[in-house]
Amino acid sequence: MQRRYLLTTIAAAAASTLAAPAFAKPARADQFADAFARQPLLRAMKGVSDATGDLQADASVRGRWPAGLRGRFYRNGPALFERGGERYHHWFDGDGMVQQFTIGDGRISHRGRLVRTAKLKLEQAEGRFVRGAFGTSIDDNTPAGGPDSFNTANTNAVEHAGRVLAMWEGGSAYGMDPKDLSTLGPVTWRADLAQVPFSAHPKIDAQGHLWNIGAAGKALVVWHIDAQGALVNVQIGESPFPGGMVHDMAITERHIVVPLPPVQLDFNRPAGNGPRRFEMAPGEPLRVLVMEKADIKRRRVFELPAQMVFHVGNAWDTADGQVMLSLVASDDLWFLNEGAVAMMQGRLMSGTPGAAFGRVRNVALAMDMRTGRVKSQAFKGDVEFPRVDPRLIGQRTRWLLNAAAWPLHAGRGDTTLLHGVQLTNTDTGRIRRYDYGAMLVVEEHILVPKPGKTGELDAWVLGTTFDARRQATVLNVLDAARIEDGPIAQAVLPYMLPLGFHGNFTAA
Amino acid sequence: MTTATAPRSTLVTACAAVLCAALPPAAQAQAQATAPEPAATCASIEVHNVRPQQGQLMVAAYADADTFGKRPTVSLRVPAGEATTTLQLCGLVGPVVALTLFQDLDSDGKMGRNVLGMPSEPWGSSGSPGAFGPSWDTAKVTLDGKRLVVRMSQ
Repeated sequence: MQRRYLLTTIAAAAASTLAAPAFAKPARADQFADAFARQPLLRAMKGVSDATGDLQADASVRGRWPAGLRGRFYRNGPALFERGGERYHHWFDGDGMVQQFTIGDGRISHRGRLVRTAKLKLEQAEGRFVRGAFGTSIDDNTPAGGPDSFNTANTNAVEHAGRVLAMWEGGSAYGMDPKDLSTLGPVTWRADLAQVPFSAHPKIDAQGHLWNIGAAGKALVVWHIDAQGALVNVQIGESPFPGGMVHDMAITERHIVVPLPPVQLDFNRPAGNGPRRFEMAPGEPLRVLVMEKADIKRRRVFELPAQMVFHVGNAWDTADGQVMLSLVASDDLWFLNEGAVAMMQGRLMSGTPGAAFGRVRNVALAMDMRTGRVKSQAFKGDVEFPRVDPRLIGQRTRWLLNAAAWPLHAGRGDTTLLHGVQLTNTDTGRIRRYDYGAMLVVEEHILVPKPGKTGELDAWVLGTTFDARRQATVLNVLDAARIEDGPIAQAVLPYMLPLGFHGNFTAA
Repeated sequence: MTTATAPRSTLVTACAAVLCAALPPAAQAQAQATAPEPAATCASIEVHNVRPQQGQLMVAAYADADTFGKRPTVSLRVPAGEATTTLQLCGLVGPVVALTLFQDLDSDGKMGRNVLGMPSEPWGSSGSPGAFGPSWDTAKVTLDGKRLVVRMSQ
């Protein structure tokens, strides 16, 4: 059991072969050059190099940035996709690059830096990819020390207790200095917690406490960090679906809530000639694990029809013993296996069946902790990147913010690349949205509360877009109460950044 | 150039779990060479990726499948030197040997582990450690007078 346990533990982070199968080689770096030249929406997915992975510039400001919006907006995402003439197959593979937009006094400056992970440093020194990646097998025998040998720190960034945490899913968070984004190294909090997975979607409660999960084989870790960045405790429980993908989590006043889609990440399976593929485990449901914060052994597992879930919106406890949870669910693994690979090849998937609209949606669950029953309600719209008012994480909310796509633009019949932002009232189902246009790609947007205001929509909507006409990344600010009007101000960078994942704002 | 091929697997924690078992407490605590048998030979071991000057290198050598992970023919503890260190290991018997190593960074005599059992100190083995760790079959190499090469994990 010990062996099996340890195997699945590391398998979540490692590329390996049990029986020396034929490895799927990375693509050639020059293979898709023409495709990127022809597809302006995806040109930034060529990625950065060691030389271009550190960027700094003042943005060109358009419109009037709100005086009350002052602080640092961080984003993270895979950015370096090619090395030694090889190219990764999958968007999720790239080495992480953290972007920092400093906003204040009507000026916006940008700094972007690759996270100097152990993996990046090793591969820079060797001049080639050494470690296996999420969607690409790398045939190499260099001994690995554990999950952090594969850690790309490429998924999310948040400033907490004076340092930036650049987070991945299967290993430690990497600390960075907010002043210059220099990499401080893995953050372990305690010596015996080195390399223990610290997932990319921690939630910070109203008191500034940070809660997170980490999954390794059978083990499910719950982290609790206080507002000063000190470890309160770590609890280790057992996953009801060992070895599955565990990506995001929610908190309530009393609970930790973790969706467990029936996706087995089997990195040992021969990958064939191409990217790795993942499958829904036959007959397995979507599980939602609800654990008490005070003692995670006190828990309940809710089961729903099989669905893929990457992200949660929010969760809260009700007075009558229910846990409410919003999440984004899809019918299948189309994006994981097809969309995120096509992006890396400079291809849009317009017209292909999997890319059709109506497959990726907001869902609200009402889970009764007494009876174990769960009710599910789906909302309209193809969406991703759900966010809520950060002051209300773990508490009752009515509005969800998403990046979205809908059938509007010719040639954009594809839900991989989003073109709008959308607010959904989860009480009424009402949708309010803004379309950025056919020649832009919309990345995650977040809600930033206006100082001194308390309403959920007394907030700015802050997020980046890739403008394919300018071939530039743009930071946008909208007023949540009038999201339909579009940006009230923008900041245009003199360069493009690879499309990224997630980010957070820290007020100055 | 070498008789040892680099480990193929990256499933390190599993390897290390076995590796730890492969170094019995007595061997971990102190270098101890068993009495050389008449046919005992020496081997030169080239260890790469050593964390320079940090703690000790712990080496265990096994002669066959039955004793692998349990009773080393010979074990050795030496202060970690340069990033590439060459050791002389004597008292080896038979035509083949399997080596398991770890770097005891904190000099506590045992491989450090995190709360999930993952190793927190570098490990290595001769041969080609498999996904489930350096078994006899994956770690064994021929003793033919050539230098044995072990790469420590990074």
